[in-house]
Amino acid sequence: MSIAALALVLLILTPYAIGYRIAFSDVVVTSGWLLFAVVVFLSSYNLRKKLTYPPLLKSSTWLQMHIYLGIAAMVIFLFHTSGKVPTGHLDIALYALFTLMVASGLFGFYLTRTIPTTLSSRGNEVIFERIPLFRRQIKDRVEQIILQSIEQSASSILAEFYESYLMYFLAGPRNVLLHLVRSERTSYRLRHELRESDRYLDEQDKVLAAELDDLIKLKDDLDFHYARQGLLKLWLFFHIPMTLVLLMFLVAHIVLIYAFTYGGS
Amino acid sequence: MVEVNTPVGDKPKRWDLPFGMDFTNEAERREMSFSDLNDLFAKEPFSEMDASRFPDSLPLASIVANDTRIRLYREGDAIVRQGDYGNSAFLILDGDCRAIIEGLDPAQLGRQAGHSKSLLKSVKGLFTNALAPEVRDSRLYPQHRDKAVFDPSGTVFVQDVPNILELSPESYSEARHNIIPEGSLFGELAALGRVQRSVTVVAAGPGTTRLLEIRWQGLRDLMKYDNGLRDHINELFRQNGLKGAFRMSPLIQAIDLDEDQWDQLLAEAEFETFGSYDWHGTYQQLRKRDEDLLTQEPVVQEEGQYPNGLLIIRAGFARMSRRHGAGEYTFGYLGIGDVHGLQELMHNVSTDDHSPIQTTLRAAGYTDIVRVPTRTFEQVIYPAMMKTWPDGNFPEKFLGETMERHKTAMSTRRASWRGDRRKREFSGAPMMEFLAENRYINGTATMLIDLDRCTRCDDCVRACASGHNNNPRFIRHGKIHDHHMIANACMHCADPVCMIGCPTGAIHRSEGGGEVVINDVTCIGCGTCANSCPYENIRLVNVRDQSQDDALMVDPVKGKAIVKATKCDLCVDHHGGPACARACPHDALTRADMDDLLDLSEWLNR
Amino acid sequence: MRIPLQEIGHRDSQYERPNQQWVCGWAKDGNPCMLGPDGKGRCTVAAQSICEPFKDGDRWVCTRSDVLGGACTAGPSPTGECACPPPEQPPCQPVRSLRARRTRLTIGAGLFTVAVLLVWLMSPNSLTMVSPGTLSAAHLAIEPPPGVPNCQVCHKGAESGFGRWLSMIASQTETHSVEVNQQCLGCHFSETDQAIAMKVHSAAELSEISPAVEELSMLAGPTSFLLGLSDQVHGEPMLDQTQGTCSTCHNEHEGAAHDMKVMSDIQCQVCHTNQFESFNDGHPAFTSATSISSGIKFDHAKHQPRFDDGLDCQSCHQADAEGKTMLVSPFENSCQGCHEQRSKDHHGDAIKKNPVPFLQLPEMEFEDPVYWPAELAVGENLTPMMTLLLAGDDEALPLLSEIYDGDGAAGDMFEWFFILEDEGEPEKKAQLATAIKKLVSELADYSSSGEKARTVRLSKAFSLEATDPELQTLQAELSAANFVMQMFKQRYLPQLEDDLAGEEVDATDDEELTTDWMASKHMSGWRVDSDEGAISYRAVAHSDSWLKTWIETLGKSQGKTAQMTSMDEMRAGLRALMLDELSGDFKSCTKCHTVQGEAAPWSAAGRLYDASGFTKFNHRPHMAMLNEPGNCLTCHIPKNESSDASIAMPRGFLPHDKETCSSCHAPGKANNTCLNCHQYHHERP
Repeated sequence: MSIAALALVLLILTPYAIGYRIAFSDVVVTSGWLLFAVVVFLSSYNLRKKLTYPPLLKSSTWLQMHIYLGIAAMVIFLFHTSGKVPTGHLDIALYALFTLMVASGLFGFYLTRTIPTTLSSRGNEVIFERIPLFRRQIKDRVEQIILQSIEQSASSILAEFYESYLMYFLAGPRNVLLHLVRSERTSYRLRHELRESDRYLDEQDKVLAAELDDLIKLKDDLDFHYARQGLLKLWLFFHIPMTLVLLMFLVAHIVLIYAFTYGGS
Repeated sequence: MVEVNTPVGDKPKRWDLPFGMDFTNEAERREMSFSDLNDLFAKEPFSEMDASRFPDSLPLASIVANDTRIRLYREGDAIVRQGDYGNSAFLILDGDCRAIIEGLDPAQLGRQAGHSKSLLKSVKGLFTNALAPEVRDSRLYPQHRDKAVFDPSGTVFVQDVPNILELSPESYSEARHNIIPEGSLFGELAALGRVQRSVTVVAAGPGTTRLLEIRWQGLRDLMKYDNGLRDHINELFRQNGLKGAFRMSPLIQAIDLDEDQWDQLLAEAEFETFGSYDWHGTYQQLRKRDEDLLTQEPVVQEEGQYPNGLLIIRAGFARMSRRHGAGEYTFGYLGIGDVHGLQELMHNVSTDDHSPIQTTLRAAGYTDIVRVPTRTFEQVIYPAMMKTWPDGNFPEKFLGETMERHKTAMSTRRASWRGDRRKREFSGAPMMEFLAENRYINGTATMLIDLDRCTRCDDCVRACASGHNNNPRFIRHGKIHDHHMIANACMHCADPVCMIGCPTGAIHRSEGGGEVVINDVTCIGCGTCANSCPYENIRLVNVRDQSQDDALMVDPVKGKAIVKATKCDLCVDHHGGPACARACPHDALTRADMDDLLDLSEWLNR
Repeated sequence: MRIPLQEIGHRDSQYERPNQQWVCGWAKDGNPCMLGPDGKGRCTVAAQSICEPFKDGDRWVCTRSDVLGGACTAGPSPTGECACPPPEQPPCQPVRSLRARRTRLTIGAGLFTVAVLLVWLMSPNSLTMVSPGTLSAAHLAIEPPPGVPNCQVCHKGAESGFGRWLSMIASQTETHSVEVNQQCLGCHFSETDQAIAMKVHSAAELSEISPAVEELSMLAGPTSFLLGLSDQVHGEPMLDQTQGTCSTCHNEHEGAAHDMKVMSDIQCQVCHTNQFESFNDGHPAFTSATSISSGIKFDHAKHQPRFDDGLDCQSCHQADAEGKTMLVSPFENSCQGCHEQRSKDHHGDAIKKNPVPFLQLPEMEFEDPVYWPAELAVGENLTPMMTLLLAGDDEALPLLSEIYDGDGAAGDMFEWFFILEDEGEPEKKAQLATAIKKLVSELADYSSSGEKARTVRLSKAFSLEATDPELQTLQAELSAANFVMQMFKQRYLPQLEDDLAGEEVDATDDEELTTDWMASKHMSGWRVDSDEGAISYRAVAHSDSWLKTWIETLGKSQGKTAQMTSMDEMRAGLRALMLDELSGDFKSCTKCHTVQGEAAPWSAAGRLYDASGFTKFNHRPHMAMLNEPGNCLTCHIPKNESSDASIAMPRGFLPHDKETCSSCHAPGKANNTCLNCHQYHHERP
C-alpha cells in the first residue's frame, strides 16, 4: 500500500525533476549537501542502535524517520540528478550505488513488513541461532524411531525411506528457495510418500510412521523459519556494508566537485 | 524436547515435608520432637487451645508438629526484614526481639543501594562491557573477603545491626526500636495478608533467642479452629490492616464516610483468604499434570448465588468467568483494590427484584478479600455513594465492576473483519483465558512481543545485554497466544512469589519504582527464586571472574562453581526505562501492566 | 499437531547471547557446549573441564560445574583426584557470530572501497576517470594546445591527484575550477556586451528590458524552495543582478548530444514563480499594443475606407525575409500609388503652395550709395535658411542676434530699422547688405575656394565639424545649386564682384534681364522670382535630397551643447528659432514624417528588436494559419475610441489579447514554453 503510494509520488515527481534540470548549479550544490546530510543521518541509525542507553528517542521512531527520510532522499536524489543517468565514470558508479542502496532499503522494508506475519502463522517460534539445535533434536528422534523400527519389525520399509529421503532432508536446511516463495511441495511430497508406504507397514511401524510424519512437518517448518528469518538477516548484509561504500564515494564526489568547480573561488 | 507425554507423578500431600525439614541448610533440618511439643503446649497460646475443636483430619498436634519449627537466633540476627515477603509468623519463645522501624540502610539488609547510574556511566558502560558472558568482579563478593560474613545457610543473615543499635543507645527506648516481649506473636500480617513486612525485627539477645516459626497454612488452621487466636489476629488485623485494605479501593476512597460509618464498616467487614498462599508451587504441579486450572481454583463467589456482600480484593488475583456451554469462559480478572458484586448489590438495593451474582469469581492462585456484608453495604456504602453522586452517575472507574470495565475494554475494537488480522479483537475471552490461565495477570511489566511485527532482529536482546555488562537478562521466547508472545522476561509481578524464601534478601523490590531486583553480591545462588517463579523468568548463571581471565568463579571453600540468579531488572539503574522496548525498531515490543486492561487491549488491537 | 521444540524452563533454556562475537564451533551442528567460547574466540572447554574435588567430611565430592555437565557419576578417586570423563564434545574452533561476520564484511567493504578509490583517483589517466561526462559537440571540437590535457582548456591547472585536489580546496589560492565567465566569454558575446553578459537578462537594469519586468521577477513559491534554501546557506542571494556564471544555467559534461541552450520553463520559474506558473496560468496580460515608434505618421483609420477599393493590410505590410517581422513596404510600393501624383509634378498645387524660400533680398534704403538693387529687393524679412547661412559669418552674427532679439526686433526687419533709427542705422544696414552680398557671392562661386568658404560657413553656422558627413552633404547640395545662385547674382547684382572688390559701381547701370527664368526646365525645383528678388525651392520628388539634407543637418546640430562660446550660443539660439520657422516650411515632409531631434527616422522601420529584445515573435507561421486577408485583425485589434462603428480603425491598436495566443499555445497543443516567446539574453551572444 505504502509502496504503491511511494511509486505514485515518484511517478508524479519524475517529470518535474527532469524539467528542473539543474536550474541553477548552486541549487544543485544545495540539494547535494542536503542529500549528503540526509544520507549521513540515515547511516547514523546504525550508530543509534549501538547507543542503547542515552535516551535518543525510541528505535522505532528512528526507523520511522529512517523510512521517511529515505523516501525524501530518493526525491532529493531525483532532483539532484535531474532524473538523468550521469555520463562520468565516477558519477555512474555513485548513481548505481545510490540506486542499489534505495533498492535494498525498499526490499528490506518490504521484507520486514511481510515476513513476520508468515513466521508467526507457521511452525514453532524459534530463535534463529537455535535452529541447528532443534534440527539435531529432530534428527536424533528420527534416527531413534528408525532404529526402533528395525528392532521391532522384520520389514525395512521405514529404514529404506529414511535412507532414500530423510537422511538428506534432515542433514541440514533444505528447500530454502522454495520456502522463500512459500511452496510446501517438497514436504508434501515426502509425507505423501510416507503415507503411500503406510499400507506395507505393520501396526507398530504405523505408529512410528505417524510420528515420523509429524517430525517431517516439524522439520519443514523449521526450514521455513530458517529460510525466512535468514532472509530477514541477509538483506542487511548488503544494506549496511553498502552504506559505508556509498559514504566513501560521496566524500570522493564532494572533493572532486569542490576541486573542479568551487576550489579557490 | 520432543516428548509428548510427561509422566504423572503422585499428587503432593500436605505435610509430605514437615516445616522443620524444609531448610536448604542440612544442619538446621530437624523434626519437631515430643519434648519440643510438650514445651510448646505448656506455653501460651497453645496451652489455651481446645484440641477437641480441631477436626480429626487436622489434629492440633499435627498442625504444630508439621507447620511450625523452632529457630535460634544470635543477638543482632535479622529475623524478618522490612520489605520482605514472608509466609510465616513468629512466636517469641525465649529472649527479646526488637522491631526496627527505620534507620537501616538497604545495604545492611542485603539490598542494593538504590541509585541509578549517571548517563555518562551508562554510555561508558556500552564500551567497557566485558567480552565474555557473566563476568563479575570477585572483589565485590563477601565470601572472597571474609567468609564468616556470608553464611550460606542463608537463614542467618549477619549484619552489623548491634553496632547500629549501639551507635544510638538512646533510640532503644524510642518508638522506632520497639521491644517485642517474650511470648508475643509477630509477622502474622505479612504471613496472612500477602503484604511486605513493614518492619525489620532483630534478635535482641542477650544470648540465643528462640522463636517458633509458624507457616501460614498452620496459622490459618489454628485460627480456624481456635477462637481465641482468631479473635486475637482479627483484632490485630482490624487495628492494622483493614483500613489499609480500604485505602486501596478507589471506591471506598471516593465515597464520603463519616466517623460512625467508618467505625461500622471496620467493625463489620470480614477478612477472608482463598486459594493457597504458595500458589506458585501448586500451580506448577497442576500445570505439569495438565489439569484444568479453572476448576481447581477456589470459588470466591459463584454465578447465580445471592450476593452476600461487596468483595474488595485485598491481595492476589481473582478470575472472573461465566458459564458457557458445559464449561466456563474467562473474560476478565480482578487485582488489588477492585470490587466484585457492586452492580448486583446496587441493583438489589434500588429495585424490588433480586439479581443474583452474574459472574463467578475464583481465586487465581490466591486471593485475599475483604467482604463488606450486604447489610453493611446497604446501610453504609450505598447511602454514602448516593450522597457522593446524588445524580446517580457513578464514575465508571469506581464501579470497579470490572465486568463493565472489561467489557468496554474488550469491545473497544470490535471492528469488523476486514481481511486485516490486526483489526481483530485480541483481548477477548481467549486472550483473557490465556493471561489468567498462565497467571500472566500478575505482571506489571510483562514483556509482550507482537510477532506480526517482530523481525527477530534481536535488537531488544542486544540492547538489554549492553546495559548489563554484555549479558542479556531475558530470552526472546515464551508462550504464544495468537501472534503475541509473552517473552521470558521478568514481569515484575504485583505478587512476587519469587521473593518468598530468599534466604538473604538478595531479591527485593527496589526503593524507587518497586521493581523486583536481585542484589548480585548477596545472592547465594540457591535457586529458590528461580524455582518459585511460575514463569521461568529467573535464570541461574555460572559467573566468571574478571581478575582470573574470565574463568568460572569457584567457591574457595567447597570448590563449587559460584552461581547467581539473574533476571530482568527493568533497567532500573539506567535512564530512559527498559532498553528492550526502546530498542525495538518495529514497535513490536512493550512492557505492559496487566492491571491496565485498557492500555493492554489498545496495544493488542492496534 | 504442534509439537513444541522449545522448552522454556530455566533449566532447559539458557540465555541466548546474540551480542557475543563468538559462538561455539559445535553450534552449527546443533550441539553447542554450555560453556561457550571466551570473549576472544578461544574454546575454554579444555581449560575448565577439570574439577577440583572437594572433601566433604570424609568423602570427596565432584564439583564439576553444571555448564560442563555437572558432577560426574563416577566421582573423584578415593584419593581426591578428579576422575571426570573428558567432555562429550572435544574442544571446538569457535566461529564468529552472524553479526560479527556482518561487521567484518562492512569493514572489509570499506577498506576495499578505499583501495578502489585510490586506484581510481590516483591512476595516470585519473582526469578522464573523474570527468563527469562528455562535452557537448561544439566544445568537444576545441583542440587543446599540444601536450596540454583536455581538461585544462577550461579547468586551468587541472592536474591529477586526489591529494592535490584536497589541497586545492584547502588552500583556496590555486584553483582547478573553471573561470567560467572568462572562458566562455572568450568566444561568446562581443566585447562590449561582456560587461552585462552575466547580469540578469543581460541587462544592467531590469527596467531596460521593460518597466514591467522588474516587478515581475519574484522569488516566492514552492518551486524556489531549494533556491531559497541555497540563499540561506550562502548568506546572500545568488541571483542578485550583478552576479552569475554561465554554468548557472548552461550545463556542460552532459553528453555530446546535449544542447546547452535548451532551458526548461522550470528554470525560468525558479525566479518567476508567482506570476509565471505557466503561460496559460499566471502569465500577465500583454500591456503593449503593436506600437511602432517609426518616423511615419500614419492614421490607419483614415486609410480604412480605401480597403473597400481593394487595399488590405498586406498592401502595405510584408513579412521580412525570415518571416519574423511585418515590414512597412517602402513609399514607392505602398504609398506612391495614391500619393505620388502630386509629388512628382513640381508644378503641382501642393508644391506651388508650399515653396520653401531660400534667399530673399530685403528692402533697404541707404543714405550713402550702396550697391543694392533697391527696386528689386522687396523682401520684408530674411528667410530662415538665409539666416542660418548668415550665422556662419562672424561679422553678420551680431546683426542677426539684434534682429532676432526677442525683446527687440524679434526677426522683423522694419522693426529693426525703426530701432536702429536712433543710432548707427546707415552703418548697420550697410553691414547687413555687405554680409548678404558676400553670401550671394559665395553661393555663386563654383570654384574650389567657394566650396571651402561654404564649408567654413556651414561648419560655423551649424556648430558641426567640417568633416561631418551631413555637413558635407549639405555643402555638396549648395554646390549643386551654384548655377541658380549665379543666375540670381546675374539678375539682381550683376556687378557684385566689382562691388566686393571695392570698385565704384552704380546700381542703375545694371541691365535689366528679360528672360523668364521660370520657364527653364532645368531649374529642378528652384524658382527665382524675377520681381521680388527672392529665390525659393520646392521638392521635386519624394525623398528630395535638398530638403532631406537640410532637415538632417539641422537635426544633427540640435543638442550639440558642449563647450559653447558665446557665439556658439548665439548660433544655437538662432538655429532653434529657425527650426521652428522652417518646420512650417517643411510641411510637405512633416505631414507624414516626424522631424524632431537628432536622427530623423525617415523610414517606417517596423518592429524594432532593440526596443523589445526580450520577446520574439514570428509572423509567418501565424500568417499561414490566417489565410483571409483581413485576419490580421485577429490579433491586431483596432483601438475603438470613437463610438462610430463605421470607423473600424480609428486610432492605432489595443494591446494583444493573451487569450488569443493561449487558445492555441496551451499544454497539449502548440508550444507554450517560456523560451518559445522569450529569450533570456537581452543582448544575444
